[in-house]
Amino acid sequence: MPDIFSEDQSNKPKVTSSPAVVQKLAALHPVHLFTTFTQNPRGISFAEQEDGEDIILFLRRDFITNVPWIISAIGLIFVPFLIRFIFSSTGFSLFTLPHHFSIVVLTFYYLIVVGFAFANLVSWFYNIGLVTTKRGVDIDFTELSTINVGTAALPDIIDVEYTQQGFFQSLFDYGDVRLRVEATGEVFVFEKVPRPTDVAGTISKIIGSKA
Amino acid sequence: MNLDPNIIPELFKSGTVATVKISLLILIFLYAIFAFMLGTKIRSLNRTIFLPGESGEIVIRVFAIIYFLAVLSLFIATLVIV
Repeated sequence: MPDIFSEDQSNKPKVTSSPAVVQKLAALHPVHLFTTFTQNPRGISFAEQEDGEDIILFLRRDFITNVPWIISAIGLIFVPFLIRFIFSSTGFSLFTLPHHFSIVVLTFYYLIVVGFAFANLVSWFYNIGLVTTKRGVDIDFTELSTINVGTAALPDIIDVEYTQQGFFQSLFDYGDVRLRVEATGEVFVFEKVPRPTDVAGTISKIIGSKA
Repeated sequence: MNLDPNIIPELFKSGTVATVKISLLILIFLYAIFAFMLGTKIRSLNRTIFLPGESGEIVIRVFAIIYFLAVLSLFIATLVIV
């Protein structure tokens, strides 16, 4: 019986991985859910990425900046118990609702708490800064309604500076990295990123190598 | 004419329950819109930046869908059961 769907193996190009490609892949670092700083991230790309444009730095706000909303969310979990305790201990009752109403209200309340935590997580997760071989890219997702993508070409950047203000930023080693753009005079900010010294140093090196 | 003395409290109670139910439905409906909007924004962001599966992007996307479905289920449950 003749083979109808057999493939001619002789014409198939052989995939060979050159040592340079293997070395490059090995140098790439994976990005996980809680990654905030990675050099040469693996598997990340963005919509306007050009051919031959490699991502050198992947940045998010330091994870410690999430602590306030995490504490708030944990606190909100206990609010119904607290209200119930206060009402039962004082014998005070606003009004009496059927039992199934209480369940709906309580479920709705906890959905709001989960939503609050999730919205904050998403806001942190998608606030991403990228430094590529050609430009800096800042993706901001603020107030759950605004998506702002800003880019600055590396040759246009005239100044790189970082600031660490206050006790917590010094303790946990995070801060703002500011890139001043030559043409517009605008300041491009990677906010509250970890290891700002390394970030500023890396960007300076790239700009220096381009000059 | 004999009026049931409990009729006025009963009417008041049923009126309150109806008001609470409508208020709850409106609130949950508005919240369902918010949950849907959040899911849409996540989809839009995933088109702006492509993160690998290991980065937890899939977890976020799946959770957004589950969350929207949970809010929608609560709306239907309030409408039908309560």
